[in-house]
Amino acid sequence: MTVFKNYFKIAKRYMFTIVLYIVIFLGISAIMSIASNSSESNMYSSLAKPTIGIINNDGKSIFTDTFIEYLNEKTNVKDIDYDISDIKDAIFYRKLDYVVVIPKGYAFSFINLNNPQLETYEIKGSYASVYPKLLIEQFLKFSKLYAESGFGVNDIVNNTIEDLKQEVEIKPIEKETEELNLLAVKFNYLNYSFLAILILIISLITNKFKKENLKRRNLASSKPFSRINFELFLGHLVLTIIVWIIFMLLMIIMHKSQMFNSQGLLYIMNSFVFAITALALSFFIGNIVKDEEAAGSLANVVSLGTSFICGAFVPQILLGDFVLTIAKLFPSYYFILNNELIGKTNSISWVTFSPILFNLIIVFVFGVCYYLLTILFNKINLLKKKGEIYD
Amino acid sequence: MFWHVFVNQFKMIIRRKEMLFWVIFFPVILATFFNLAFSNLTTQEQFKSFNIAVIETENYQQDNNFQGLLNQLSTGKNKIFNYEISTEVVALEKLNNNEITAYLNYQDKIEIVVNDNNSNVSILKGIIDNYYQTSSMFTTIISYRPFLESEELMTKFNSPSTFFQGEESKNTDYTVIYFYTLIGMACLYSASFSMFAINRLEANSGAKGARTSVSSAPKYKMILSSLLATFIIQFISLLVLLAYLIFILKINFGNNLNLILLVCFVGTIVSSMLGIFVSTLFKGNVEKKTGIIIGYTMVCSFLAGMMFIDMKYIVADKFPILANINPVNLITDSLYAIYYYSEPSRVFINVFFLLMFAFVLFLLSINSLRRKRYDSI
Repeated sequence: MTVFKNYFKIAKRYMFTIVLYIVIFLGISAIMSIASNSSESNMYSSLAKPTIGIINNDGKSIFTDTFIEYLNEKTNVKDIDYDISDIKDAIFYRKLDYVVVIPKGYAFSFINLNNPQLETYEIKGSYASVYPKLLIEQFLKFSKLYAESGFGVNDIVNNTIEDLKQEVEIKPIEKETEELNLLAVKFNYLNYSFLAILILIISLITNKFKKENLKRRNLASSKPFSRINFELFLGHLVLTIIVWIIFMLLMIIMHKSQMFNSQGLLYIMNSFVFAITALALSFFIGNIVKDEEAAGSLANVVSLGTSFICGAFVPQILLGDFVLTIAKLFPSYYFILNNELIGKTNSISWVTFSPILFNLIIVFVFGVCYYLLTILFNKINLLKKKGEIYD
Repeated sequence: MFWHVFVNQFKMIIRRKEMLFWVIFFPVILATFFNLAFSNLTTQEQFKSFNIAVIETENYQQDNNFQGLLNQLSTGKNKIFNYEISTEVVALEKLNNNEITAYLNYQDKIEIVVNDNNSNVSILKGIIDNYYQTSSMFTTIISYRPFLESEELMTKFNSPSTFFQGEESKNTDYTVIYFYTLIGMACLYSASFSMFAINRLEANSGAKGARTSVSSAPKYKMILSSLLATFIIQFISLLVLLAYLIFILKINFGNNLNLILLVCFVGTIVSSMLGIFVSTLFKGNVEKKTGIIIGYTMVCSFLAGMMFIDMKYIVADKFPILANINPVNLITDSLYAIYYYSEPSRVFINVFFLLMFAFVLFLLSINSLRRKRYDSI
């Protein structure tokens, strides 16, 4: 086990870089986890209750007060400062679905049928703006007809509110397990962290073993080449498991209540299998790439690229069929699919577990393929080198 | 001397083909991935009519008004949904297969049965609510004002009225932000070019560095010429990315090319300074310095919204200072301002902050850049 022991000597020399990577990606995972909790309006989820902003320049009056109260009840009203660029930013980043500015003298003008207009901001034609617009239009249309029929202000607002209380019921046929799906999203983020960290660290260390004189010395030893490769892989494996444990601790600290049940266990198991495959992929990349800087770029391409097209950052249901077909070429797709499946599993039985197991096996097979490819690549390279030496 | 160093630094970068290839093309590849992932997103956001089913009940058959409403909403250019008459069993099955958004069961009152709650359901509910609300209103008005003709009221109610004067922003595709962060990231990432170049000049970086240090050439000249060489390569690599985004992926950047180039130019200055800063202020092997640049770039990109677009907004909203010292965010925000706002003042503010950032990095490294004496090396 000389190679295995030496592995850690080298790893120790690059301790700073290794710890730096782990800390950074751990931090990113943690912040992303918290942010996805607190950000109430997730632009990808379809909003049942729109978030709107109201700026009232008309002061207090029965009409405007009732109007605002009505909107308060039907939507999430956010307090906003009256700064056009703030509003426009909030609209652009989908923090607000709709903004209404009530101009000065609006209520008086409205009651007197002068047809005043509200200033609005929205993403034209977007889903999120259709509903708040409908709500506002309803209120104004009703009030207007009452006003036209000669009712006084009090009657106008009271009748309108009374009418608008008429509502039908929505009957869901299935209860969604919201909370646990959120956990699936958080495990999906691991696709990014694991791939980024492992590719960066493993290619860093692999590169040292590839340095010409160290490599020749190794090859000249009595140890078979495959054995050297295997011990290297073992070293990587230990590192991977350490990284995995650190991330699992983070998950447990952040979501204590949800981790210690069968579902939590499935998530953990899924992430472990994926970590091993990510390791095999990193081992492959570390071996084929010669330049360290290039390995850094590749780490970014692979971790970010797969996170986007396989559904870690953008949910799989929102991706097009063509993209998903490409995504199936990467183990990340099956890892993420599994997280979603686990999120939907309420009780574990063979029926619910078998598709999860199937995906686990696919992820693992990807790992085995990467490992075999690496061995093959190194073998071919070795034969080439031998030729050079004999010539 | 200036051109001698310049040419050689240039050659040294060009010769590291693998590194050059990846640093230039990895943002290009990532952009391709982004483009794939987002191709579907904004179209999903646009409202499309949806499908519902209506259970054929006695109440439904008797309610001509309601039938009229359904017909009205399911025809024409601005139709909201398509509906079909069905039985409860069939409708339930279709609902489970997600073929329809909901079905309406008209018993004493209309019931909306759904699979999960989404915007379509909200819209549908709004419509059905409206149906009841309108009839409630007519009842109220007629009871207080029996002399009013219901026909006349109906015409008044249905006459189109404009309650809003809306601001219509043209450029509202938020996915462009991802591509903008990519430019910011590519900018910072290429700091490794200048880091390598400056590192080679330092005596403690190896034999070549020591040799360069004892030459008679003034150090500032060597630094300037090295920087010029890396600056050109960094700027060109950024232009390659920009051209790819604009001409091949057809990402919308607004229409002020001069400002965009200014932002890229200033971004490259920042990355050059970052390279100097990391190579001089951090001691240790090149791997460590590369690690710092990669790590720093990723943190900045993350905070600028590259992995999670809400992040950019949260940081700008809650920690504005952090947003203003994050070069990736400043570059992203400049490009966003060019795209979304027509007037350029916000771009200039961001550019100012970027230049300040570069200047601070330069000040911090200036001392370590000076010629050093070594008793032994």
